Amino acid sequence: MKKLATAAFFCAVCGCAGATYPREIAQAQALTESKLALSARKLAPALWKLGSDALAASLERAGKGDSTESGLLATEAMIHFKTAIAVSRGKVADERIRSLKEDMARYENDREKFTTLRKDAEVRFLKIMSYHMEQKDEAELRRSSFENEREKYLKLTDEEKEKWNNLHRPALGRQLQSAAGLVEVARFMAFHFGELQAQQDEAEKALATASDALPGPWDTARPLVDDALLKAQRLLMHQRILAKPGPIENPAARTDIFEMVGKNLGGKVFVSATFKGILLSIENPWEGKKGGLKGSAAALIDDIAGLLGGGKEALVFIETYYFDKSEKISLETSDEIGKSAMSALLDRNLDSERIAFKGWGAVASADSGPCLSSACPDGRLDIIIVNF
Amino acid sequence: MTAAAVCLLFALTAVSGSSPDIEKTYKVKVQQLKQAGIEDIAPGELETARGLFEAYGKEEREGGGLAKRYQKLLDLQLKFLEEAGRVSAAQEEVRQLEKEANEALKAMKTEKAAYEYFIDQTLASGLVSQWATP
Repeated sequence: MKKLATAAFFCAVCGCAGATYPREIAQAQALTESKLALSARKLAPALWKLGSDALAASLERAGKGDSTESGLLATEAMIHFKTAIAVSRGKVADERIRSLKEDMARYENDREKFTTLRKDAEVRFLKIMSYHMEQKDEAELRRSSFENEREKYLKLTDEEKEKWNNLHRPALGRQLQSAAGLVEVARFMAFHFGELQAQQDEAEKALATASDALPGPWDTARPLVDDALLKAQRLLMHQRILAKPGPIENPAARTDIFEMVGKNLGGKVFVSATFKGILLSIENPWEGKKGGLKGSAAALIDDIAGLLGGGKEALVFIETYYFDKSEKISLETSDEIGKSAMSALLDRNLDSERIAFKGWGAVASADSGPCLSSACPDGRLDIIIVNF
Repeated sequence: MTAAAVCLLFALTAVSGSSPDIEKTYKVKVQQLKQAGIEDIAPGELETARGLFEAYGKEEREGGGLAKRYQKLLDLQLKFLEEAGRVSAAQEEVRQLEKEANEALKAMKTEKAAYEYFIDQTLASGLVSQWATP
């Protein structure tokens, strides 16, 4: 009885003093002050509110002396807080997973892109090196041949040198013409496949320097012409190798294409493989004073267009020549031939941007063909398939 | 519910101290959580669940009126443990993905370096003064 009274007295004292707060309340409050509480409040607000409400109710019950109910509410609050913290950590992890997967997809995409670029760069690098080795040999041969001939040249008298100059000037002129043709085709290709401006400038400068030197002494002109030709060849080769989106092979180097063209057009037109592409040469295409393409030439152009099939990849460069005593008439007429040939090809649905022409007038062609110069009174028309 | 059914239910709970469904659910969940490694993920929390389950059972046996409260707390605790398990798995996935992402990044950089190497080599040769990228 006495113990019961003592117990009751203590209960009363505790009740009056404002209750005994269960330890669960302290534990729940500690969670609200933890480092993760801020994130949990933000990312799991509903759960956090449940916990806050339960904690508030727990404190109220404790204040009224109901420690059992207070303890249960504080326990509930703790569980809500812990769950909110877990949910917020889960969201952070999920976001990180999403972000990492995005990063990985991007890295993989970039890796594939760079693998393709690397393979492409490797192919181009090897082609350039390979061509460089070939051209290096050719340059050595030319130099060696020049040195040998120069030895003889220097021993000549002035009169003999003059004869030598005049004798060799036409050949140098044809080489220069060849270089000029290569530069024209390279310029045409640049329009479609990307410019190599610095190299183009270098080749054109070498061409100009050699042209200026051509009328002069052979031992000055010859190395400059060699240099111009080598630079022009290199320019065109690099234009092909570095073309966007990928290297453009010379169709003349493709046995299957060259044979196919030869099979279809050989006997009708002169077919040859050149540095520029597959050359199809039509002799005397022009009606002379009357003007206009001859029917036979038009028919041949039609056959050529048929072979190209209106192909989207086809690239055609036309070179024309006309041999009149008047330089002006020669140039104008060679331009007319070029325009007419181009028009005939456009009628067969070839893309206007994929055809270009250059009229050379009465200059002797550097490319082999049915006629090189004035043997063709009605001109010469070369259709070059630069890309098939 | 008939008087006989009520008596049967009471008898069952009296024998086990808890309703058969709740006990089965609890045991199954605890087993699953243990298999998921919850004891390492959230040490002590399984003990808390056990404590709540026993408190629930005691209330059921003694008819103390707080059985439903403890049952609710037990449910909440088990849900918290499941969430903790899921978060742990997600964090493990983050660690794995970070490793894979680093490897993917490294592979990408290697290819990029190889690509740039060929351009540099070509330009360094002096044969070509500019590179035309596709």
